[in-house]
Amino acid sequence: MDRTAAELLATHRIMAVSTVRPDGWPQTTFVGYANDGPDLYFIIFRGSQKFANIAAEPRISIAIGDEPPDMRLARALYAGARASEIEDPRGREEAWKLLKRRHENLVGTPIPDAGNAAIMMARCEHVSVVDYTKGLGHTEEFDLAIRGDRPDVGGR
Amino acid sequence: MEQKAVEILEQNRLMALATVRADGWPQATMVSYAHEGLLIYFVVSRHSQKFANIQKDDRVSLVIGRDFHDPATIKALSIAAHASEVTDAGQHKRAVALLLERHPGLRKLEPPEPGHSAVMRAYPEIVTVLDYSKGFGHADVLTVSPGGIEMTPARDDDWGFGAQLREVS
Repeated sequence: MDRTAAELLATHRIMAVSTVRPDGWPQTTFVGYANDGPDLYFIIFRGSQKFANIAAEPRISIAIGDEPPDMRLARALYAGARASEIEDPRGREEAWKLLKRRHENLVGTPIPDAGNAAIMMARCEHVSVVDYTKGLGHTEEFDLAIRGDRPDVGGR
Repeated sequence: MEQKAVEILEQNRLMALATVRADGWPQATMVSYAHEGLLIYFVVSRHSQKFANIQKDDRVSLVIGRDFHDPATIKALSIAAHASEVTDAGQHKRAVALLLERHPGLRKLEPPEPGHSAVMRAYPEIVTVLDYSKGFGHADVLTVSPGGIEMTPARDDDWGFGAQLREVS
């Protein structure tokens, strides 16, 4: 994966996740995440609109970035990804370990009850990296999977 | 509650903006904004995918907030809004002035060239106000309509964590 993309994914803890509601309206919220390369792990409340949206339409979009002190230092990562729940207990444990490593406040907390919270995995497919340190408006785009090809997600 | 939403808008300058592409895939990007009450202004390139998406479907979703050290300090907004280009000359001027005041760094750049950039506004329809100081997952919902603002209070999604979440040291 692109070095800037890998660095942006590794140095942040929250991302904006956009899903599409069945009525076609986009819905965006922040979630805490951890990543293993292009694979993103996050937890959502099973009763949430977001969970229902993903169940009906797994295509999501994520945005990572923060307020730059200077416009010329702005860097952000955007990705189109497909999300699915990790149902396999071992996969859930692995994802939980990654999340605890990234989010210290989770250390010592038992894995959330599967009845309440779903551990999700999304693999970045189409990635855009905005890096104004290379010039205002500088953006690089690349694909991590063949368009239309559903990556092997979940149950790792 | 409207005041709390406006305060969160004042405490931040950057939002994630989601639109929907023609192929149905959502698209999220980070965008600088300014606001006037609950009305949000931002600038996009006319050549951007985002601009094309909004022209086709004006329904957008915005999220405003920041990373936290103590989960109990989370204050964020998730907004469903209709976005459109600002075409009224007076409003356009005011929007640009508010954006420059909010983002002084933009003064170093060329002013938005109308042929290249579009000044946009997003008018919220539903505003979810997250305030975890009132309990992990605490969210109040404001519905904005011509008749005024209506509030649906307090949904708590604690993901089963309860009070177990701690501060990040």
